[in-house]
Amino acid sequence: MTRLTATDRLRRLLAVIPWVLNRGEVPLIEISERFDYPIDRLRTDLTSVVNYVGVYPYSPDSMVEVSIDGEDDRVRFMLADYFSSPLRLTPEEALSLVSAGLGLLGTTVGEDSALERALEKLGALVGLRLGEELDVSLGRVPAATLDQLRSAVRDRCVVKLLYHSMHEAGTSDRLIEPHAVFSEAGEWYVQAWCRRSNGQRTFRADRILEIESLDETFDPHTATEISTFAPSEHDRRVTLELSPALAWVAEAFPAESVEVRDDGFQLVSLAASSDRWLDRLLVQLGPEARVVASEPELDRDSRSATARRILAKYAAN
Amino acid sequence: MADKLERLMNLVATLLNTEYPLRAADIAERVEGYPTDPVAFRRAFERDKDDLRSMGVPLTIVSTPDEGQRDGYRIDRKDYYLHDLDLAPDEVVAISMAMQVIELDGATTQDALWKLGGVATQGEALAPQFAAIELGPSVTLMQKAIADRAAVRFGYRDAQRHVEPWSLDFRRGHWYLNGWDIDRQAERRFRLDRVEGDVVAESPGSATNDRTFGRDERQPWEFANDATERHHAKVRIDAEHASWACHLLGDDVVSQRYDDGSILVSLEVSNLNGFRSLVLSFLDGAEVIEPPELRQHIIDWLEAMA
Repeated sequence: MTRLTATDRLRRLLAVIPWVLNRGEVPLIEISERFDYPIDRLRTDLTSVVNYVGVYPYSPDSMVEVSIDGEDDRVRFMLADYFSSPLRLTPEEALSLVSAGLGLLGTTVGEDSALERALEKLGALVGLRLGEELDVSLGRVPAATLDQLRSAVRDRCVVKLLYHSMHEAGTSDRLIEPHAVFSEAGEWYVQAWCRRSNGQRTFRADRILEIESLDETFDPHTATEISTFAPSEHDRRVTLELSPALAWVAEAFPAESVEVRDDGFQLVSLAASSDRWLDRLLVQLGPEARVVASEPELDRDSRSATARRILAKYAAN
Repeated sequence: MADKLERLMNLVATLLNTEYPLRAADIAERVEGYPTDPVAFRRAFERDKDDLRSMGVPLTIVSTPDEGQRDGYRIDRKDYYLHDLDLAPDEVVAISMAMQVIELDGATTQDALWKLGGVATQGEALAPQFAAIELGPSVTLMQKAIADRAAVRFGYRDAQRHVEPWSLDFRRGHWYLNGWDIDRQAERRFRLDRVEGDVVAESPGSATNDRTFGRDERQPWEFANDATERHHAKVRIDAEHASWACHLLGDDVVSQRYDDGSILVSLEVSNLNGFRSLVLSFLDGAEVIEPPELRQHIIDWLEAMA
């Protein structure tokens, strides 16, 4: 158990007292749980500290009175009217509350109305018009999809996806055992055990075309760290030479290293988890990007082969 | 030695309760728990003031009206007390849930939850965190500047900027400031983690231009680009990629469905780079049908690599 300093306890008590005053009396255990206050410490602080707090001249009628009574140790405060309200929220705290609320808005089905009302009231504290002067987006995925994924994580339900992967053509069905749903860099992801590839995979939620929870449940495989990008040792490592116009590439993809040459060109090293992904990137970047190194070695001609394959489509018509 | 917690609580209670500012000497006399030695008192009192201020307690110094004009201390109740937010119980639960599942940097978030009545954890585990929003000091500064309608100055990409701040948004994992760049006389967008050095806010009301808002929901091929005219493009997407294309672009862009499962989509294009990237993302699963100049552009682009 962590030791609480005097200010750690003060921060809690200045919130505990008004909260209890407002309710009349509250069991000790509930205060302890809500305010992360170890119960023995809380009991001691209430009976041998708070009970002696007061103002000059410290006559009985100017001292806080604490009572802890009954089977469930119900706590009451008397004569504590100067602690009748918690300390105001600091500007940082207000902004944190509102940002978190805005981030969560639109990510759960049918549970937004309480959050919307709360934000309406909290918005006044930050002085900005929410949605207009202040906005937070954690990704653009229908709330229904996120809800279904989160329920499946909670209930350990196997889920069937129709998924579009960047690593293969078209879309495919997958059976997954989802472990976690999270947002990173503005996209929602689900991390899961993929039965088709028999391994841990991270799926982008916006590439899920259809989703269905099955009746079947699963025993979780050993939990692993949540991460969107865990390059495997089997991934191809490529180094791209990029003209200054393509400087954005190093930011748009998780580069393993970036070197800027004197002429302004960049050498960017990336892990490419499939050749299809790399081929796509190379034809999109065009002639101003060049593969200068690859491990394992890359067929020199692979980009032109991709370009020719696409051109064939145009020639046919 | 008296308990520090008790002394701090006495100090807060006394300064909240006083009708007139109290001098240090009054505090030494009236607040229980301080050492009697003046030097030791001063040291303890200075530390307590720092502790309270770092928690956000509005402990202020004002001149007392007595003969010596000496400084007095007080805590103004209207600055200390949380305004009644009038949050209904389900609203508190909703906002606490948001605070729990989203990791916000800084230890202050826990205090904010306590002020709203703590976290109800009985009977259920805390929801796992699933997103992070970093709130650096520049975000708070810009928030205040927007609320105050104050112009700001800051360094960005090796240049000093003078900006009327209009709005803040968190996108793709970063905070952005939108506003009017006064020197460049143009609307600009800044990534806040790239701001260099301190942000200096000018006086409230110094930002006088009308603000414009509008979330940019345009797709990459819709951004107006000086070099590109507007085109009505038609792209044929093969059966294998059709359902993904509908998911990505929306069903309403589909202008025709063919027997082989392929589809024809109609797009308004005003940014050539964005359009080319979209089309090539399908590799050989998509073909630009019209207009001829966009079709030719894709062919030229590919031939340069073939």
